Amino acid sequence: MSSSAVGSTRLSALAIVFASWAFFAMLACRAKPAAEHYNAPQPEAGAAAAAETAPEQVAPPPTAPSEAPVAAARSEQSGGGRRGDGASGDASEEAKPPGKNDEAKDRPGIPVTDALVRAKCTVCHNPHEGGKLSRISYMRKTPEAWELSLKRMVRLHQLQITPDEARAVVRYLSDNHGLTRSEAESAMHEVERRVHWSDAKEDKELRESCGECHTLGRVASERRDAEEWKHLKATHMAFFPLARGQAFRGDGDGDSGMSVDFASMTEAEIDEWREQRRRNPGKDQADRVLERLAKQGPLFTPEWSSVQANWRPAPMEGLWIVSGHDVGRGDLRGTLEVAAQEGGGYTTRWRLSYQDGASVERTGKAVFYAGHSWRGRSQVSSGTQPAELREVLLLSEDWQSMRGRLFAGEYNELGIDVQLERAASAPRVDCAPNAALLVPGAGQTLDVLARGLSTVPAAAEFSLGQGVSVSAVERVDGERLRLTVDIAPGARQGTRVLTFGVQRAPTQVVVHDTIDYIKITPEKGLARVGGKMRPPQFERFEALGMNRGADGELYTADDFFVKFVPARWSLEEFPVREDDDDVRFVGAIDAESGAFTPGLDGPNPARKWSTNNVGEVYIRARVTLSTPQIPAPPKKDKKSKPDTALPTPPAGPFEMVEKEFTARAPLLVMVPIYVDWDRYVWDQR
Amino acid sequence: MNHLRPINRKAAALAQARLDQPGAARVLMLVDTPYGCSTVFAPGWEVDSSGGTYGLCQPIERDLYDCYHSCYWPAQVPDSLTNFPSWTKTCGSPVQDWSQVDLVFP
Repeated sequence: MSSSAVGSTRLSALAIVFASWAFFAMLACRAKPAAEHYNAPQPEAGAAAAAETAPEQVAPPPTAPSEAPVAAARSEQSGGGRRGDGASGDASEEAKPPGKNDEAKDRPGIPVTDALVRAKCTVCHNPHEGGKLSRISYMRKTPEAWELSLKRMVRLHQLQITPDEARAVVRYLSDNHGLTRSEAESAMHEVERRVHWSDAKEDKELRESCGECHTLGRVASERRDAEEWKHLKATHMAFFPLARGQAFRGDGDGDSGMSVDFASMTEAEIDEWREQRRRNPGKDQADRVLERLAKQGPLFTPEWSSVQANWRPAPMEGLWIVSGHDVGRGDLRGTLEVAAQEGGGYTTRWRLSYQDGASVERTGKAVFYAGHSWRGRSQVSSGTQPAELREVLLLSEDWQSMRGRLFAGEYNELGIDVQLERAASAPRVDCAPNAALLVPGAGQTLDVLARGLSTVPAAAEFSLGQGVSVSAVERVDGERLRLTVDIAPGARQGTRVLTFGVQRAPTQVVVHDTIDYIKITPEKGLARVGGKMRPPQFERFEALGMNRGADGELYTADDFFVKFVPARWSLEEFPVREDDDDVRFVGAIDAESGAFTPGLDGPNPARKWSTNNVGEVYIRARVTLSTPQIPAPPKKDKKSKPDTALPTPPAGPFEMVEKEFTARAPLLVMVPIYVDWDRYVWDQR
Repeated sequence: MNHLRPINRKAAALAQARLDQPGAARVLMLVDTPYGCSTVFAPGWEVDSSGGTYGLCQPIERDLYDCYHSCYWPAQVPDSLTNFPSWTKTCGSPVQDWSQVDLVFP
């Protein structure tokens, strides 16, 4: 594997770990009964963590009058605890000595106005002038990051808070000390819990200082003022002293002692030099990184100011049109019905249908944070979909669409990528899943999902661009039309947008002359052994039919994806040493579906040194397809002038032949992780 | 040292060196990094320096409590210093009782 693959693998793997960026927060060790944990439903830990682990003992804050506006604001549905204009402070906080308050007098920050938050936090956090609270007023975070902070306060600082209060606090802070939409977008991969994600393209020092322990998505999940960014290092050094030498690259750029003549110095002089060095170590790597972050991720930005001025609840109720892809199961289409729930939040009903004809109906709840971030959870009682799916979606700037991920799995590895659009009152069309058309070709069919069309429209109302004509339309069923499509020889290949009148279909159709090769996704598989101590991390593979693209060369940047193709799957050894035997131990892949199930965790006495069932193997895909045989293009005359036009490609139609394709991808089966950072109960917030 | 015999010139020079004499090198700073076996393979809880699993400390259970005590993989293994001081209470020997090792939910 290349070094980039190493980084990619490790960081991707870390993507499911989620050490708390700010605090590496860890809650009081909630011992797991091993027997219960194995294959048991996900425990309702988490989150709210704060929540559950907190003894239910604390009475609500005594400032009842200020609670009313908060509740009123929250009932606006989308805003949650936004704009809680509660009176700041209570008797206990006023009694505090001023302390450092004066120092923060001119430090710009976000006032904390919610009575509950003030009551809970001022036990430790100093009130600053203008309604600000130490630390809290000088940072903004995603809901997930606030939640981890709260959990750490419960675990290490004896915060006493009930589950309901914890949810309210997270909502208030996420709404009022949250990220803007574009900031949240930059941290989406983190909250979507993407397993296949690489931070390799990021700055090297940033990767070393932060990414050696946790994902850089944690960094993207926060904004702070310069002083708070500095505090971050101190917190990490206090909690994890080893970080100084490991990630922060230690001793600073001060006098390293290389040019000091120690031999001519007395012990006392050396001690003094050492003390000086200790006091003025200079900047280390973490200092440099934090200086940059203070500029790149400041507390206040023009966008933040604009968001404040433009704040209003975004209406989320109504019908949304869903399109998505479930790895291993193919494309899906459907709807999401959203209804406002009394007391805040939403109830949801997902109706999803797969390309193989299966359909599923899920119901759930969701909370909408900060005017753009949707967090939900849906359940289904039977079927092949996970019993519970978490939802992380981001609303677009124009409020008309959302995109994100629905996911499940011990390591959040089982995910569905989805896009949603508001259902307009006008008729709505979309391409059926995995749509691909051949060029040239007459009389091809293209299925179209059509909502709100009572009559069969004329073929002329549909368009797929140049060289493609729709000659007929017929109705298949209540929500499906079938177009007859003719594609002229020489029509340009690639993705085409289907339009119907003034509408553009959200998903596209691929026009291609043939499938030239297949590719496996994900390109590098990741799995973790499990089943005894902790459930495993599964992996799923798919085969992609690919076209060689305009340059006629295989495996180049202009190659394009045509459609998913059914494959037969198997494992092969990835030899890294003599007598490599990983393939016998790492697990098994389902020949039909491409779903990989890792081997059990724990030492395996059958292996040398009782090695775990970890290792590297190849996944092999074999595909048999009937595809057009494209004759080799005439060779370009080397003697011709450079400006001579390329020879005209053969026009077709081409003979259909049955071909065998094969591809392989590496799969890394890894050890488990003993810290589960990511247990949330979104729908209970 | 009585049982060790130098077998090359450098070792012989070291054996004859009188480090307690004036002018001899003095120790300025001792490295305080605990050397767990994974240190050798950093960076990599999941993979070794070559991107594979062959160079990892295996089975992982042998190295687990070393990581715990040295807080070496704070994102992957509970740390003894700050957050989970009693993590090892339920399992004395992870190599023997590895399935009894607790997960933690920070």
